Parts: sequence; structure tokens; C-alpha cells
Amino acid sequence: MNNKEYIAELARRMSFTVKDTQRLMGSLVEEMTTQLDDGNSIAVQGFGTFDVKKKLERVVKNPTTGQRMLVPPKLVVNFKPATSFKDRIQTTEEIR
Amino acid sequence: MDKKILISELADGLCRRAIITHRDAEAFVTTAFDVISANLLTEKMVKVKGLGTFKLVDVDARESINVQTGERIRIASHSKVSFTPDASLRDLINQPFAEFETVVLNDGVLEDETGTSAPEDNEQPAPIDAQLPTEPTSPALPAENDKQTVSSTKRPLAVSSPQSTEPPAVVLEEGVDTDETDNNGQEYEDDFEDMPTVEPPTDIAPAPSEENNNPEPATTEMTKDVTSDPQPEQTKAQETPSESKLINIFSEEYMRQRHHRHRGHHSSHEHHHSHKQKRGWCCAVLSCIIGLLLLTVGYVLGCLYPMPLKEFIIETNSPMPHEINVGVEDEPEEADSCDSLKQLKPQQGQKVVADTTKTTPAQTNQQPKVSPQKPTDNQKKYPQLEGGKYIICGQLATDTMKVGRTLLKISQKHYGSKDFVPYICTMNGIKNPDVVPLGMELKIPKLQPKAAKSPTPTRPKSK
Repeated sequence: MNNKEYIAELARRMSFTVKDTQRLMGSLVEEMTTQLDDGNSIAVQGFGTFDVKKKLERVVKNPTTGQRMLVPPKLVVNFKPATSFKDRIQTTEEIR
Repeated sequence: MDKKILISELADGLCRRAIITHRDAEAFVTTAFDVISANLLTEKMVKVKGLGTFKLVDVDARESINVQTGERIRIASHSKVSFTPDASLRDLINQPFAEFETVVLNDGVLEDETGTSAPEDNEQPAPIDAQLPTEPTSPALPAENDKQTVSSTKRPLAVSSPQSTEPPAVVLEEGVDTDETDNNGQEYEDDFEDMPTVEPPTDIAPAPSEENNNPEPATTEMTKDVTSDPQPEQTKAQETPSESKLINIFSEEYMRQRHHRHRGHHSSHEHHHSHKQKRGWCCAVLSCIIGLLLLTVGYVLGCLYPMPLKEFIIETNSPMPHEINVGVEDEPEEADSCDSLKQLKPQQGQKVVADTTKTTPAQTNQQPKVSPQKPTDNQKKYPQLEGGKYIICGQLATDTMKVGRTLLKISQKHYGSKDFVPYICTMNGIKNPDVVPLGMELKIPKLQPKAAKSPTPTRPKSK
């Protein structure tokens, strides 16, 4: 489901226009980005948690060339689905 | 920072950014995520622009261990939710570490963290196995062989070994490069011919020592090249015993000459003095003849030595403390001998001597008369080398910088020794002996030793 379909579905559910939902969604994403940039975690009940984690630098080896590289440390956005969400997935899987 | 943001707070932010009621905002946020989760179950993939992509990934069943009981457990196949942030979001979040890039590692100095050791171990057997069959087929490549043999022998050992195999290969290459560059610019090629043959090591142990050796010969070579600049006194100290011996020999001979010519002249050679007193006139005449013979012998011997050195030593006799009372008569003789020597010099040094050198004997003819009398005046005339054991008291010759000529060669040619480069530099105002412009005319200074060797200090000669 790409972005366009998603916006359309969301607009339908909210009874907003596509244009409005598009703008609102953009604002929401911006808000989330700002919060994550500040280092805060976003916890959405029933869905999951978005947080920022630091990955330490590490040495990687190219298996073909054998060349060793040093990957620098970085900050990444991590999503952890909520248990209820995971259970829901499992039940739907079992149904299938 | 480190706050837990709830839906309500997101809704607050939404209200600030858009014209919407708080209630609507909250509803919107909730619905947004509901739609994601709902569609994810059905569609397996949901993409939200600006945020990222949610995917449902199937995971195969695997056997594992119950962490509490320690029993073996079978984990069933299931689906898990994966989230991949959008590029814009990823870059924005990683802003603090944006400057860093992955770099290629050459040295094995890193201490691996525990997390990285395992993957390294897993990877290690694979490349070695791939390389092993090639070992017998490539004996001509010492670097690669070293890498392989070392890595294969050290396979069971700790992680640090793959790192250590790297340095020999890379260091060798670097060593060869530096050797080549060094050879181009310097004269000591013989020293480095040995280096490539010595290089291929079979153990790691020689490799670090080679690493040490590579910079060391280079540095020693550089010090040799720079020669007298950092170590004028040391090398001069080595030279001076031999020089002083030469000086002493010739000085003795000249001493005898003057001694016999000027009766009653006080000298340290009491042997001759006593002879003279005892035997009188006949002895004096005999000794004169002997002295002349010795003079010619010494002259011939002096011709065998590098000319500039001989001439340079004759010059240096004048300020010796024994000869302080020498009259004017000596100087013409000195001048004559010096002149003849100097006239010989251009003939001998014809290879690279410029045309101007032919005029210098005429110039220098006058100088021997002047220099013994007034060394201090000449001292002031010319720039002097600080801390040097010789005084620049005139100009010996001129020379030019040509392709392939170095100050060392010029010094060797004019003085018979490479140690006098700093004097040439001082005379010509050269600050860096390695950088002398092509075609530059160099004034070769005439040097007198400072009488630091003799017990009495130099006194200005009167008359």
C-alpha cells in the first residue's frame, strides 16, 4: 500500500478531503520527526514505540575481498511493535 | 530529551502546526496508526511518506533454548513487523554523526569489541579456504604468500591475527615506495639496494621490525644527506684528528724551514734548535738544504692529497700561534706556493669549473698576503658560520649549480671533504642546502681554522 492509497484510506476514515489529510499527515510526520530529533520516544498505544538508538562503530570485513572497513557510529530510528499488535498479527496468521 | 511522547502530545503538536481542534487532532493521530496496522495485516506493506515503510516479514521456525530452564525450545514460524525509516528522516536523525564515513582499515591496531569478534571468526575461514589453493601457484608474490601462510597458521588463534596479516602486506608496499622515492633523490643508492631483497618475511615478527627499519634507514639517510647541517661539529670532530695530524706534519716542515732561515727564532722544535746551537754555520746550511728537500717532498705529497685540502691547510698555517712573529718575508713565499697551487687547481678541476674560476687565482693571489695579517678584518667582511671551527676569510673560487650537482659534491671538490657545506651555505646565504636554484653561482669560501685547537687564542697579526 503506497502513500497515495494510505492517504486516501485515512481521508475516508476521517471524512476529510484528501488534500487536507495529506497536509495533516505531513504535519504529523513533521511533529514526530521533531520529537525524535530531540531524542524523545514516541509511544503509540496499541501500535508500537518509535525511539532513537545509537549504534556503536564496528569493524566489518568484506568476505570477498577480505578488506576491513570501519563503520562509524550512527543514530537510527527504531520501531518496536506493541505486544497487542504482535498478537493481532499472530492470530490473523493462524487464521490463514 | 528521553521523554515518552504520547498521542495527546502528538495531537498538541498537530494543533500548533495546523488549524484543527485538539479533539480532531487526537482522532486523526489515532486513526492514522490504525490504518497503518490494519492495512499492514492485509497488505503486508504500508508506506508513509516522510516517515518510512512498515513491512510484515515472515520468520522461519527455529530451535532455541529457554533462557530460564535451559531446555531446548522450538520457536514457530511467525511474522514480525519491520520498520524502515525514510531517507530524509534517517539523515535528519543521524545529523550529529553525519560527518563520519566508513573508512578502509589498514592497520590491525583495533581492539575488537565482543560483538564484532564473532562475525570476524565466521568470515575468517571462508577467505582462507578460498586462498589456500592459490598458495602453491603464486610463490612469486611474497606479500600475498605471507598473508596466506600467516593467516592459515594463525587460524585457530584469536581475532587479532587477521588484523596482523594486513600490516605486512601493506607495509611492504609502502616500504618499497618510500625506498624508490628515496633512491631518486639521493646518492646513497647502495644502502637501499639491499632493502627489497631483505623484505619478504615469513613471520610477522620481522615485519614490525621492518616497519621500524624502513623509517630508520630513511632517517639515517636523510641525516647523512643533510650531513653537516645538524652535525657539523661531530663530523668535524672526527675529521679534525686526521686534519690536525696533516696540519701538524706540514706545520712541522714549515716550522723547520722558517726556523732555519731565521736564526734565533724561538720554536718548539728544540731538537733542531739544539743541533743548530752545537754545530753552527755548517749545520745551519746543511739543515737549510734538508729543509728545502723536505719542502719539495712535502709539496709532492701534498699534490697527492686532494688539492683544495692542501691549499686550504697551507692557508691555515698562517694564524698558528708558532708563527705569530713571522716577518713579512715569509708571506711572499707562502703566496708563491699558494699561487702555484691555486694555478694548478683550475687545471685539475676542469670538469665543472665555470669560466669565472680562472679569474679567481688572480684575485686570490692577493689575498694570501692580506689574510695572515688581518684575519679579523676578513672575518668581519664575510658572513661567518656560527659554531664553526673555521673562519671564512676570503673567496677561494666560484662554482655553479648544475643538474645533478649537489653542495656535497662541490664541497668535496673544493675542500676534499663534504663537511664544509655549511660554509658554502653561509657564504652564499643559502638557508636550505637541499634547495639551491639551478645555475646559481656559488662563492666557495676560503677557510682558516679558528685557533681553538691551539692553546693560545688567536691574536691579530700586526704589520
